[in-house]
Amino acid sequence: MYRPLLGFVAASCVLGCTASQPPHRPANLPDTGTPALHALSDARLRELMDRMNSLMFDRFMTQPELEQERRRYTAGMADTARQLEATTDAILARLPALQLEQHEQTAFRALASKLRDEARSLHDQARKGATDELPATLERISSTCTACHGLFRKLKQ
Amino acid sequence: MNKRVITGLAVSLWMVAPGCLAADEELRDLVKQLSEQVSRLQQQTERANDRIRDLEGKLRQSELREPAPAKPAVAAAPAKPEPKPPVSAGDTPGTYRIPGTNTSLGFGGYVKLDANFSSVSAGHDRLGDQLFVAAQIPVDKNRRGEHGQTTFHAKESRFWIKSFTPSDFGNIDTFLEIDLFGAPETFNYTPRLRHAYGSIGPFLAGQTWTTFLNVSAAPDTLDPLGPVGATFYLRQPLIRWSQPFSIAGQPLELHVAAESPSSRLWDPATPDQFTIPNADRYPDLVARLSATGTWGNVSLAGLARHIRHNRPGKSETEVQWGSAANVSGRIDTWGRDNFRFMLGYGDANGRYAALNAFEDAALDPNDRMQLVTTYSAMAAYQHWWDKNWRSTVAYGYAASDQPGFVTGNMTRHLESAHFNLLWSPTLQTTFGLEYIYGLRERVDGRTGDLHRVQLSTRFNF
Repeated sequence: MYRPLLGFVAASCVLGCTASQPPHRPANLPDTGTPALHALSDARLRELMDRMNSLMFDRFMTQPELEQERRRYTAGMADTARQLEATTDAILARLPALQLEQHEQTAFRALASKLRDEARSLHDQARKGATDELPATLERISSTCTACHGLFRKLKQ
Repeated sequence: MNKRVITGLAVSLWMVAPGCLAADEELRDLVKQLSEQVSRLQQQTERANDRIRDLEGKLRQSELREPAPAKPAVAAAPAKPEPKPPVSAGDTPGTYRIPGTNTSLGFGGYVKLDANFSSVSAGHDRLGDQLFVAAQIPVDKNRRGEHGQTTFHAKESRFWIKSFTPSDFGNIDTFLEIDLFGAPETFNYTPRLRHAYGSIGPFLAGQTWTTFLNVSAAPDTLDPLGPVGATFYLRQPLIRWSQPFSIAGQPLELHVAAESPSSRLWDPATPDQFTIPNADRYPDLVARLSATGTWGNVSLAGLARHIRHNRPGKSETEVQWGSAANVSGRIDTWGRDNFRFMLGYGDANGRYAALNAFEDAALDPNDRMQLVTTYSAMAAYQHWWDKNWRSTVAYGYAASDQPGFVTGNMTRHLESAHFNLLWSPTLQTTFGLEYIYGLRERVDGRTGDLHRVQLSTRFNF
């Protein structure tokens, strides 16, 4: 009953956010060999955030140059957040094909919508250069990923 | 039965009747007293009303006699101070909006202590004991004495102030930064201007890093001069135009600048074998094209310099144009790791290749000027062990093709290696240990080396 769900989730969600991925994948979970698109977005967002944070330690660039670099990183984060949002839309569009139980659909839709809203929020914050707000939003995205993975991994057990 | 009832009632009436008569009397007295009190109160009220009427009449007469005073109550009341707008956040992070303007102002800096343990001293009160100045590594007899030298200083501490103002012509940025390296003496903390520039949109004017330098390629060394072959000590007054554009979706930026000229010639006729001619006619002309992407950035820079010398008392003027090229970049690898590099070459590369190491030109015995070709290279890799710990390993090389007539203590080639381990438990603090190796070879083939361990603490504010 959960096989279709696991197949899809493995391809598009469960292998998901690499930063929060549990170390052990269930033995019978199909492995596509590549992480899902939104996982790549999440990893890219974290990398950009880390690189932007590392600018704090730079003492050779002038402050306007550092701000230009920060703007470059936040622009990259805005683009990546837009991709994440689009990927989440695609996940939601595929939901009918999953043949999930009603309560599973509700949970899956809620989590995917939450991820999409957070991606949208991150996009807005990055576009406005609200760098102080970005870490908390990234944390929320990570929590959503963890919740989704945790929930749908349990379903197969 | 009826007889008995009638008899009982009669007895009861006989017993109650005297009490009832007494209560009636008391009530009559009470009513009489209350009536008297009410009469007195009425009289008092009438007297009070008469008095009020009397006073109102007097007041009316008084108001008719004197004009009513202007209503001072409102006008004379002390005016409530207008609430001042609170200090608000500026348009860029870490800035405050100056009330009543659209200018955001920010300031900051850091306090840094450097403790250097050197295998050999560069000499009394020389900058080489505080910074890694490869050209000051003592060679031959200058190495005698002063081994195992220790220097503590806080000269790299910095303070900066910046402003940001949006305008119709683009954003207006200003930036001013000082440190305390104004004098070479170890205990002389003279402020020194590092940066002072303003920019509006693509136009920048003031003192800052030379356009020849891609500052993002500067390695993260504790020593602020870093390895030889890195140009990142050179700040000078300049005028620059930066034009972003893109080709086939690749973002590019072209910087064109006119920068303050300065030449340093090898001159055997002077006591220290160097002369800095005061004959500069044209600015140093620099162009740099940079490409930036998610992978990092790469820059290609070109430099043209007009080097001119006029011996006092002589009519002949030696003039030559020289040129140099520089390729530099910062390539992101894994995680936060990155690779940084700089390559420089040219007969105008002299003062851009290493701090006071090479001359721009040399004067032969007939006072003929010959440009000196120099080449320089630097490579550095930064590895992040985790979010708090990081290391940089860097190697630098710089050399010059010295003319055959150049002798004495002129430097022919320099090498350096840096390795450090830095710990930043918070975004505002860094503690680190760095090992530095330097090698200097003079034109006469004599060499000197330096081993240094540098301990640094940095606290940002």
